[in-house]
Amino acid sequence: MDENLKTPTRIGEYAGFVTRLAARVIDMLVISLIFTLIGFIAGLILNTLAPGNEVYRTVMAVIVIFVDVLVAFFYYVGSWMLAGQSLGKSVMGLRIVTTDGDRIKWRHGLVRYFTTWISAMFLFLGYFWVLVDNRRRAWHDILAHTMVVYSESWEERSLEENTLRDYRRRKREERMGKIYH
Amino acid sequence: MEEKNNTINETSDKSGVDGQDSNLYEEGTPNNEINQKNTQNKGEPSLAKTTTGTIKQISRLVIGLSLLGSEEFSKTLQDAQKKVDENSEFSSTDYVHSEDDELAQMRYLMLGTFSKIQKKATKRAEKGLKFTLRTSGTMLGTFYALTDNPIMRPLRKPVDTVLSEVVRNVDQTLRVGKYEEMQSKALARETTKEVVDGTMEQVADNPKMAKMIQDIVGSQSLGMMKMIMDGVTERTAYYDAVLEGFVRRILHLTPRSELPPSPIAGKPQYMYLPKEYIPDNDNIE
Repeated sequence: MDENLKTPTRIGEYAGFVTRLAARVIDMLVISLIFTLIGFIAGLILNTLAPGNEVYRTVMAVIVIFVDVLVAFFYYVGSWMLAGQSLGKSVMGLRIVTTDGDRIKWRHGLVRYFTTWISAMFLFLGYFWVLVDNRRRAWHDILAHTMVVYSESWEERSLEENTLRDYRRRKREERMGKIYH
Repeated sequence: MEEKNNTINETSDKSGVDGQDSNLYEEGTPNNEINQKNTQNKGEPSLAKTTTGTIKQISRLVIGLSLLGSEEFSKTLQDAQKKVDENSEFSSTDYVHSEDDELAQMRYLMLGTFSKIQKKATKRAEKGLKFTLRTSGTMLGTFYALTDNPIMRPLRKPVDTVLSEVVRNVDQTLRVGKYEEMQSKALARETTKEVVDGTMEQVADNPKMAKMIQDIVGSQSLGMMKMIMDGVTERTAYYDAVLEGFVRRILHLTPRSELPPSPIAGKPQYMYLPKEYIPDNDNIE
């Protein structure tokens, strides 16, 4: 393993408001893009099957909202569970971990996702809490027992990816070797 | 002249890039003698084997590379000029718009003056050369006309000697120059070809190096993106602290010199990697 990965700068430190906001904006852009795509597909289906039908339109709108909510849920919670970071957080070099520094579990993810609504409810005061909290946590972080930290820089990450890729290739070769011999 | 050129070509062909060409520098050696001497000298040590020869070859290589480079550059320049001419929207006969500011007009004035001076200087130099040649021709003609009688003929002899010396020197210098240019270009071409071929062979024989080159080419844009992203993160991290300090001051909270330690500060984040991959428990070398 490269020495740089063991002693990186800022890695594991609490992430601040601006970085988190930038990550959130990126996520929102991605989500908006997906929503637009869903809306476009829904409109296409509606116009093909029942053009101008008000009932179908209402039903389709409900379905679209439902799908959107599901997509947003799986986008956030799924990516947190798998990598500890959504796309925006990955771009900005952030990672969500539990307060003990472990990977988050389903319950952490669920609580965190739903409590973001509470953070947003009071004029986003829950989000601004990052600015005053000692561990730079928002309300949903406090409620879900999680924290957002800086992950590796892009350079460090590519080193890790290379090592991981080499490791996987070696494993695959070993497996193939076992099959053929 | 045609005959002379042919002789030069023959000479350079025989001496090759290594060049046993010292004969060409001997003053007053007739061309057929050069060819003979080249044939006789084949047993002598080649130019490449001596120190002087090496220095000469290096200088030839430098000259050759410069010549080839300048030829290529000149071609590129001509092509670029053609394109510029084709796409140019402004003609030299157009008026300069009055809305251009004073600084721009001053710049145009300076560039215009420089361009005009350059044009004039070139024209004058050409005229001067033509005039010199014409005058010398006329003077020589007159001199020969005046001295074309038994009384004045003895005066011709020293002038003839000097003239023939000058002509021979000029001729020899021209031949040396042309020969050097050809040799330099040939040497530069040969060396470039050797170096390129050698490098290609080395790359082909060494898969590691080939992969490295592929990686470098492939990862250049990715590397740039990574660098930019790292820069952005650095910047946002700085503004995190700035904004926090500002808000804390407004709220009359004690300014924070540093954050409380994070339980995973400075540690590699393996928590989301496959378990078998974690280096401490595993067999990663």
